[in-house]
Amino acid sequence: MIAYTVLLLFIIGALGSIRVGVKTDKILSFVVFASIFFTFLQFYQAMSDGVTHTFSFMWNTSQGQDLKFEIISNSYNYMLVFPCFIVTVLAVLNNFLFRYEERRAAYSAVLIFNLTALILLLTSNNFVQLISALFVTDILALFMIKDAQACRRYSMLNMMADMVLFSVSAIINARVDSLDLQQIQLYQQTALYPDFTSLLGLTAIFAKLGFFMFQIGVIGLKNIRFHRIQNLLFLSSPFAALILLLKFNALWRISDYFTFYLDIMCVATGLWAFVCGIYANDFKAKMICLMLLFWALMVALLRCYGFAWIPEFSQLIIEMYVLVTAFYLIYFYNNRCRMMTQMMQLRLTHKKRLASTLGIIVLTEMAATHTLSVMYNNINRFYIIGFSALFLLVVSVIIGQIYFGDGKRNVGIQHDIVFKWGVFAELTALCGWLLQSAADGGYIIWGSAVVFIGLLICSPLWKLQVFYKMEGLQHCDFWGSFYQSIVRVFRMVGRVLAVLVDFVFLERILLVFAQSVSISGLRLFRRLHANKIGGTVAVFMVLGVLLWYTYRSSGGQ
Amino acid sequence: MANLLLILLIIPLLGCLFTMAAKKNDVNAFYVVLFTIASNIAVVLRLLQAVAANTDGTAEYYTYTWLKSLNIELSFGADLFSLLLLFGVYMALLIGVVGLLPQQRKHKSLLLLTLYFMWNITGFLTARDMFSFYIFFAAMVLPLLMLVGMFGNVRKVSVLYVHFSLSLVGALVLLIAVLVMYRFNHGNAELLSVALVAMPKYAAFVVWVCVCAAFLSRIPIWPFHHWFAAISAGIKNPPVYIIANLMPLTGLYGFMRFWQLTVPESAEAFLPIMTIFGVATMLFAALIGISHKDFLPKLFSYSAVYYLLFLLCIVLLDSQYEKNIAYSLFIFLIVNASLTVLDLWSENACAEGHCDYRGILAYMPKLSRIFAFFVLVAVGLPISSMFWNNFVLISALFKINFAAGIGVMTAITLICMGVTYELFMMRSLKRIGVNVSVEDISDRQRAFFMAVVLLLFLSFFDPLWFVLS
Repeated sequence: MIAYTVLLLFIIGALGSIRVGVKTDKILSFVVFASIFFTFLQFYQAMSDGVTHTFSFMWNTSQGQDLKFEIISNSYNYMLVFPCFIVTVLAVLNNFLFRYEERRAAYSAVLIFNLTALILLLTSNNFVQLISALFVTDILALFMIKDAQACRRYSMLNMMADMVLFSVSAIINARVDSLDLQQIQLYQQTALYPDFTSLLGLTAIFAKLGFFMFQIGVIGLKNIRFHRIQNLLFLSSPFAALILLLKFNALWRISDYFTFYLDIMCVATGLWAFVCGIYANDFKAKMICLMLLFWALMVALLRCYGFAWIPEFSQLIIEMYVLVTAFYLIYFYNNRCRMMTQMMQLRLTHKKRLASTLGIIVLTEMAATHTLSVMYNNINRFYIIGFSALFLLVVSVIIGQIYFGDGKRNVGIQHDIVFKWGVFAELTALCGWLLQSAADGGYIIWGSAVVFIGLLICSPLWKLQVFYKMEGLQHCDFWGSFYQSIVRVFRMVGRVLAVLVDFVFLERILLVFAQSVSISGLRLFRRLHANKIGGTVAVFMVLGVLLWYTYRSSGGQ
Repeated sequence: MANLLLILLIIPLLGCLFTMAAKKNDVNAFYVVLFTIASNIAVVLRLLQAVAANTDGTAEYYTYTWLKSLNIELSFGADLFSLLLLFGVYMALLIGVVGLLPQQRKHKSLLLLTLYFMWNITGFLTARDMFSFYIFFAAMVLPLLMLVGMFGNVRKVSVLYVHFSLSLVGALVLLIAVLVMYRFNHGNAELLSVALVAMPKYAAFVVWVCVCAAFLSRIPIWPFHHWFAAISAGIKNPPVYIIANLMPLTGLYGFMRFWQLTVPESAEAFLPIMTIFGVATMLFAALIGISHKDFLPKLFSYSAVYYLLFLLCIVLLDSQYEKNIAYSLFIFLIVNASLTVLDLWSENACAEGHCDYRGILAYMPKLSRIFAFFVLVAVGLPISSMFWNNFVLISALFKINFAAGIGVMTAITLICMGVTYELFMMRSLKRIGVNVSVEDISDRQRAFFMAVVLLLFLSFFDPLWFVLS
């Protein structure tokens, strides 16, 4: 069934890629949305029915290693595909409603192709299909970003991570002689440098997730449009990295340092995202930090659950997507004002809509509380409580500062009827769906809502807006400078080597030596031809030696 | 099929005759060259079809007996490896010739020498015995020297002399090796059985030292890389640059043929040294590549790194990886040639439009898209068969020597990141000017490169998709 979905998605993507005029584009983008929505419904039906099927064909063969292209439909894969599918459907719907893009259908097509690549990644059972799908996801990410300047760091970091994962896969394949992902377990017995391979691969995953030390890639995305950031951080590298974390989990376990390394990185990322979420003046940067905080929590929870995906993870992703969409609405009502200092000065002219958006945020928070309460146990207690507290603090600071700021200027925005009701209908329906299972949540979710509203009104961190005026802090790019200095060192080494080895040694020493040898040889030959007795004697002596050598080497015959 | 091999060798010579007969300062010669290359591509495709049909992957031989009294029998033949390389070389030459600017298309001598080189490399890649192999190996130096000397803009003549001397010395030492083998084999030997020729230990040592020196002199391994870089640095003429960059292929092919069945015992001692030098040069070339600020030097470093990867694969891996090397090399040759031409076009557009080189692709959206595709193929993304084959080859390298594998992957990662970074710089809108008018590529040029893109992209699904079964 998943294979059939992939085929349909491919056709819909191709349909969306057709270049059409502006008016037709509106219709086409709706057709694309309707098609993907019906495909999703079919998928959901198959998922509920538990249809199992394996689609496979021989892609290539080499050195006894058969490379199969496989799309395996089973309940676990349905569960994995579900969150990215629903988020893509929402992204395509929002693209239709929000008028984000000049060519809406084409952008929807990119999202759909990205979903296709993600499904291939999720259902893969061999290294080559896995890495291929991963690379395709990264290529499509470039189309999503569509800005060479903004995506430079993101792409370079991702590319480095992809190359590392390629190497790790090649190392495993070399040791276990199999492309099958299940065979990673055998690597433990034959591994040459298990810690090195495991931690190297894990570092690549962290780079793709944009974790601490590698956050410059995702933070650099703040210069692109909001919805692109949202789609990238939900549907591209971080999600792909999460899947890799699951697929390679047998590899990580090889190293004794794995748990320690993962915990340190999750906590460091969470703390960094919290701090950045508080001090960043840029609204988009704040959103990126929120998402990083979320991915750090997801990774930590996955570790606690032994890298087994459960439906609550999907629910958390959807809740986070709804929350970020609600934040997009706030951004939109503030006339896409980017800086918090400016947003705080705006007089809100869309009070009803803003109040409704706040309602959606509170409802989402309640749904997320319920999901986390279901997952709550002794193993992940520290993460759930700690990360939720950090998350709530950042959200309360952002909302509090915008909603209760001292407005001075009026803003007015125009939007059509479809947008006016469409987005609210979508978000309300989603919240309703998410909360239906939380009906029996009782005091926990209501309590959390009260705490959240309380934090909004009297957050102690509101006063930290003084950071927004610190130019040095706002423009601080420590990790960017750090990486640039590493690149500078590499370049310097390259130049020094070029000068020392190529110019000084080869040109000035070796070449000059060869020239002097050939000049001496020429002089010798000239002397031999100078009609002098010494030259003739030398020639005859050389000839004599050659004759003697030939005589000896041919056995004296 | 044997006649097709003969046709393959005759067509370039006929092309040379027609080119010589063409008018001066006219584009007739240019069309003759295009037609000649296209005809040879058609013949190669037909041969590939025949070879693919054979289960053992070999085609029939064309044998010509020469100097009967000396027991020299020249023979030509082709297998999948040589045919794929021929196809790759022809495509590279075609891309180079299409890349000529209008005024360059009237250079009769340039076109004539290009065809002459094509004839040489055709003979070289189809040679099945050591004498015909040697003849074409040595003869190739002449068109290269003339092309680089006449159209290469080499700033220092001494560099040209050194390069030529190296090629000549390489050819001479190979001659010594061939003569010694002729002496012990009591006649000409087939390339496949060269490694099996029985020789005394000291003679075998001398022969394999000579063979290694001859082939390595054509490969950008330390210390020879410097003269390759120095020669390539000034070349702004697409076919000349591409031909100069095809020379390492002859060294690789030499190793491939001489050591196809087995690495001779006397040569086994060189393998660790070659591995160390190969990996060190790869890292060295990658570091130098990222220190450059222009695309073309980076591309040169990239090609050096990849040629050395293929060298390591040829000398370290056994013959079962031959197909993977051929598929990967085929894509590499085409990508390298395409990127060279596209970069030279953008440089030319810069010179005409008086704009900054970094950011040029922002003015040329059509060229930019094609350029980006080729860069992505070059760095090994899964949009061509290079991806899967490189994976197999690198896995095999890791299996044989873990440290060498790490070195190779580090070098590849460094240079690929350097090349990709340069692509971003060339597409950056930051440096865009206001009053700059740059002409993008024409629809014809775009159509041509779209066909090349299609050729590469479809190879991802089946590396031999262009062979009709």
